[in-house]
Amino acid sequence: MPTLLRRACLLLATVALLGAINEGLTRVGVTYRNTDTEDLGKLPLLVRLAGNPYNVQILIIAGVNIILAVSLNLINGITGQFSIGHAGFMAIGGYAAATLTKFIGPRLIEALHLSPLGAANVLLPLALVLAALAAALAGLLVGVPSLRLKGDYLAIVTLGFGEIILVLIVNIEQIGGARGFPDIPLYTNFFWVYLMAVATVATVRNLMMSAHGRALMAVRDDEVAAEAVGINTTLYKVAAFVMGSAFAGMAGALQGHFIQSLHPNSFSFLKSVEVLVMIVLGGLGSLTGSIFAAVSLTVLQEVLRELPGVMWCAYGLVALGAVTAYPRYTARRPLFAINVALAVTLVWLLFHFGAGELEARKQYLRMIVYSFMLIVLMLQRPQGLLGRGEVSLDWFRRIARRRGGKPVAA
Amino acid sequence: MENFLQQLINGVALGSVYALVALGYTMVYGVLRLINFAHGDVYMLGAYYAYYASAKLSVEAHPSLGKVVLVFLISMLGCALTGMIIERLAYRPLRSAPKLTALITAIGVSMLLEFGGQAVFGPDPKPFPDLIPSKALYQSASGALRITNQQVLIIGVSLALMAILRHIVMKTRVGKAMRAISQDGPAASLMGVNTDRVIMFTFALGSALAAVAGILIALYQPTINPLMGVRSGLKAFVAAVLGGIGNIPGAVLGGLLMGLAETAVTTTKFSGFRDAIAFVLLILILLVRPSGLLGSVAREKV
Amino acid sequence: MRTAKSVSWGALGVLTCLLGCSNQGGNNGGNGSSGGGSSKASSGSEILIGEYGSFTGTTAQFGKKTHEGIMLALDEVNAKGGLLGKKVKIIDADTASQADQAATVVKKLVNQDRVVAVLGEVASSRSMAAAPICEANKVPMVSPSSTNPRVTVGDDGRVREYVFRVCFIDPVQGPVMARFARENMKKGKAAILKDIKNDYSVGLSEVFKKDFERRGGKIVAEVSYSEGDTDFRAQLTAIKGASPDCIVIPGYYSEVGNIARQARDLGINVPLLGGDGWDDPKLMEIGRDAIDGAYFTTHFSAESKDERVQTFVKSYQAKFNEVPGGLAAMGYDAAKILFEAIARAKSTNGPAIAKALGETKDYKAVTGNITINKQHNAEKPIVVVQVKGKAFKYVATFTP
Repeated sequence: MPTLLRRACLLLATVALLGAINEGLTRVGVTYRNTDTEDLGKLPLLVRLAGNPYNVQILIIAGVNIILAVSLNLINGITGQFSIGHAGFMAIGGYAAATLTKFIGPRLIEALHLSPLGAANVLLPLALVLAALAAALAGLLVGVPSLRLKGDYLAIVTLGFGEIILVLIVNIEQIGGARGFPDIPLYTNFFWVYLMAVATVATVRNLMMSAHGRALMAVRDDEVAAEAVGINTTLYKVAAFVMGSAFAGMAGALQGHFIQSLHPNSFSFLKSVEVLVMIVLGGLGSLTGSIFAAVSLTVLQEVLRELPGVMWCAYGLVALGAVTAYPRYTARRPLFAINVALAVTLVWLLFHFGAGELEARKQYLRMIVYSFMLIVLMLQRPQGLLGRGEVSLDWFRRIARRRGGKPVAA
Repeated sequence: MENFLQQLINGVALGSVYALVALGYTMVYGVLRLINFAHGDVYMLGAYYAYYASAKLSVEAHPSLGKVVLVFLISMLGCALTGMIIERLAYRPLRSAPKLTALITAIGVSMLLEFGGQAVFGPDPKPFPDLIPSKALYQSASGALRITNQQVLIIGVSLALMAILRHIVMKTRVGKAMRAISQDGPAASLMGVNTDRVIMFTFALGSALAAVAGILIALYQPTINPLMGVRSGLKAFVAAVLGGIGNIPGAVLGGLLMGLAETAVTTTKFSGFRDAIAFVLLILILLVRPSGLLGSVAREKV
Repeated sequence: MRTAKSVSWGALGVLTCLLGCSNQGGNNGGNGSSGGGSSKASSGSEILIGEYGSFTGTTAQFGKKTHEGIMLALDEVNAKGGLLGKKVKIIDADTASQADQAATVVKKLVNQDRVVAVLGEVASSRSMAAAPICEANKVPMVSPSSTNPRVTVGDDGRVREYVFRVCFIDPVQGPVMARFARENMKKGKAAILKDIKNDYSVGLSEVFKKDFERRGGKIVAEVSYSEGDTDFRAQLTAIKGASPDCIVIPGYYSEVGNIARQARDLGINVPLLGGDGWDDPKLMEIGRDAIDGAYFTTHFSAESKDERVQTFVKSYQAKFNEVPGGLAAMGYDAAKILFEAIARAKSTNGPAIAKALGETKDYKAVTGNITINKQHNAEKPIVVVQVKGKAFKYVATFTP
């Protein structure tokens, strides 16, 4: 009983905290918006940072990415399945939710006499539930037939399903088809995104710590042995798929209600790869790793938007410098070669196109560096930043104890 | 009737291009058990190498058969080199690594080529030079059926290359080495096969084929853009899996099936689902025959 | 080894942080295109106007050419001392030919860079993604060439207060195409090949179809492709089977050139007709002989003897070394009309600028006399040109 009470208190505290932060952000946002551009410098730093809707935008996108990364990690990292069609589930969730809010929403608002605030806080949870259910159903449909396949085949089939989902969406006129679903109401805010993010992380973490989680990891480590020990591998694999897709669906719904439109192009294979990069960078099987990577890459994308093309070359040269300065590194020749190639390519691009043209092609540079990073990561540190480990309070305590000279308790 | 025949020719021509690219995928997978995502982009590079080579040789201004052959050779060489470099730098270090790692690296290389291509060549489509101008070889009385030399060339070249490839794999020493490695890598190297060299040769061969496919398609379409490898590459891979990955005639069969299916769907009113048909076909086949149409069933030993 | 690794990762991390910090520094963006180092100078002495367009991606030419037109207008206005005594500065953002990017970058322009007005976009889908954002933030938006009616009019039928365009809309362009096909080209059996991936193409084909049939024509085939496709033989063969006497392709130049070549390759020799999405010299680069002789409707022809047009063409050629196309002209006009509205409003306040824009009457633009009507669309003539060699030859003007 106490555990249940403890958990309930924790939940209430989280909701209260998130709600408070959200309220704070909204208030500060209003102040920011009403301040003339000339007077912005007079506002306190915190207000300026927190009130700027652009920064809030980064926070929200980071939150959505956390949900995506953690849900994909459940499938790829913890259960060891090769799913590279995650964006498809996101799309289904997004479209399902938007269909609810745009088509059925107005009627509900009238029937229940909801204020605009009420509409957002009633319709969005409903939409999220629908999104999760729709995406889960899709996950089931995809999972059941494909999970007989192994490794590479599964990857291709999940990729295929992602594409099929896109084609289906493109051909349904009522939701805008190929041209996208416009004019979705702005219901997403900090509170909802982070509530869902916390829910996702908490769910997955609790799952990992439980017997079911161990079963999933057993399936990852050695499927044949797991089956031999009596674990129903098919059930667990499908369950992981369904759960992962449900969360992805919610992420899609949240994104749709933030950007206020949905386009099939945003849910392509490229998006699936972006999420894959996040979990690989963070470490497959590491929750904190995924969170960290999701946030870093979101921030990185925004930072890089501003970056002049010339800075990219500097980046390449620094990477090269770091590598050559350490002879042990260069012993790993392919890595060295790749770093040289990166630096040389970027410098050549600069001279060939001149700084001006390079500006225009900035967008590509981001993806080029992403790809290089992916390759270098796989060559040098395939387990990602955190491997399978997690950053936790316990971890800090152990580090502190080690530094202090005291032996770690056996 | 003539309309049907025309669509049939269209489908076979399209399928032959998929087949050419599928051959490269299937060879590499057979030997390395790796889905080389970058293969589709090597095909794109083949078209671009040919584009720049033609410009340098001013093939359009002063056309000659010799120059056209030279363009083909330059492009094939360029792609072979590209393939070998990719293998050496990105895939070889990961030969003993888990499959997911290699897969992700392959995705990375693919994206690198795609976005690199967009940055270097520019994202908008470029018109491909008319190396082999299109001429109608046969035109029916009503004009409804029209077979061009390009279409015949595509079909013919694919079949010829398939035959040559089959010969290499079955009748030469290198081919035997390739087959040995695909059966059991460590055992092959114990038997004295220089695994590294043979794998490099496989990549070179597959990439050269991709170059030819790229040029042929560029003549046929006739524009090129840095993302042309994405769709076609994926479909070609699906074709390879369809026919049984690791199986050469399977790749050609798969390619032809895909081309025909796609063209067929485009003529019906479900033409919007054209892109999905490849995957639907794949999933259906994999459900029924997990190793593809002509593939051999591999038993999993515990 | 450990040290080496941690140091190099650390160095990269520090570098990234430094870049990140410089971004957060002021209310302006960091280094690069979004406005220099000093955050104070930005708003005090300059008027910031945002431009979002596709500088990369499949329709990169759209963004590039429009941008050039806008830059020409910017130079001209700054040469005359700027607006309201301050220099005008344009902050541009790339949508990479993607609609969701359009929404994100416009949010950034409005919130982070604090622009007073926004110019963009060419593609209707992207304008439609950005319009609600400008509307919600009370920042006026002027689209140079988006022709889908839903850009200025929301789904609920209400006109968006802050969104305007300086070009005609498809419900006007379509009937002109139909009229030209029936009266000038004298064709009665048309086949339509549309791009289902874009609002512009689908919208335009619908309007064309309705009007063409109203004028007694018949649509014998209606087939579709997707933006980015390269093989159209299956669709063209189906069209061939229906024996049309002309083919209408309301798509973008990037595919149309290819379609024309493949059509000729299949033995289809009937004339081709299109809309303003064709307006780019790349059309001929790709289409070569196949596209020669085809007609399309557009905003402007550089051959016009009008003095305004000739002055514009000369200044454009002097700055960019090429003949301006329709998109560049529209970019120029959009920027000039916006500048003029700001001058008339005598303020950089959003609602004031919007009001002034709505009151634009008979503005003598390069692409015709523009009046902004109640739906915030421009009422102006439509030009038909024909592809001849490497240029577009003027054929006719229609005033709807």
